[in-house]
Amino acid sequence: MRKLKSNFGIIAFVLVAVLATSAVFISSASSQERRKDNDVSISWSPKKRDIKTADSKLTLNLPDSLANQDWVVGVMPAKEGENETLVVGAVSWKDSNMGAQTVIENVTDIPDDSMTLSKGQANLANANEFSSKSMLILLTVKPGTQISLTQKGEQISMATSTNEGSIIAKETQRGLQSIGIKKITGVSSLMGELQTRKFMQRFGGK
Amino acid sequence: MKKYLLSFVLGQLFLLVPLVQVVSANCSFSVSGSSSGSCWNASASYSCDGTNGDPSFNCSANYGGCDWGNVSVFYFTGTCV
Repeated sequence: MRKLKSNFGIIAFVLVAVLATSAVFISSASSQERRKDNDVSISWSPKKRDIKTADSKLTLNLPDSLANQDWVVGVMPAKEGENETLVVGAVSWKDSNMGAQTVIENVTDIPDDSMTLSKGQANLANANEFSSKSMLILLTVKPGTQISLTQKGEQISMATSTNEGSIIAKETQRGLQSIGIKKITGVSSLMGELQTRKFMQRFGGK
Repeated sequence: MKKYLLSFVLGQLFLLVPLVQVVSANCSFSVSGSSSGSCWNASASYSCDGTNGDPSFNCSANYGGCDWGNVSVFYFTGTCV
């Protein structure tokens, strides 16, 4: 009986050790999973809507339902003879296997009926996309155009377009920021801006 | 009885080692980029000294995009090391 008790102690130790080793292997396997590369490539043909400025002025009215989402507005210079246009993209996100990061999954045009365009005005109406996705907005206008961003009837930002592309305003968890110096090359730069913000939010960065 | 106790303590130690790694928190993040013509590139790196439940968190992300005519392409490659 005494010998049995002694053996039982050894068996119990071996069992616990096996369990512990399994836990280490599971943890290690989880790390291996994280080490997988994560590649994403998104191709989008943005729908460009023609807009018309009034005396080199344009008011862009943002929808109320955008209030809880990240959004970014950029401006590119219209080349000689090029139409002045507006592009609005709805950005959806997905979880990646890269350190539990969130990455852009897709970008799509918003429905035609969610915007009204008139001389000197571009109004974005409330739409489902605005309440569930991040939003990128790109204006292509002649250099020197005064752009006023309004929301809920109030002006929230103002900028004058130049010969270079730039981000003029964005809203993230930090709140509204007006930026006139950050250079962009087009729509893809705005996607990058939203992605960078997402990375930084993951770490509580700014 | 001492053997049972010893087995229990050693077993608990083996079990808890991988769990202890998962607790603390201190992260850093940096991003840099450049643009050329219609394209741009960015590199984001982030590391943690055992944060957010992830002891081996040391990742980099390379992403960028190009605007060619009517098509915009966004690409992204992330690696955990």
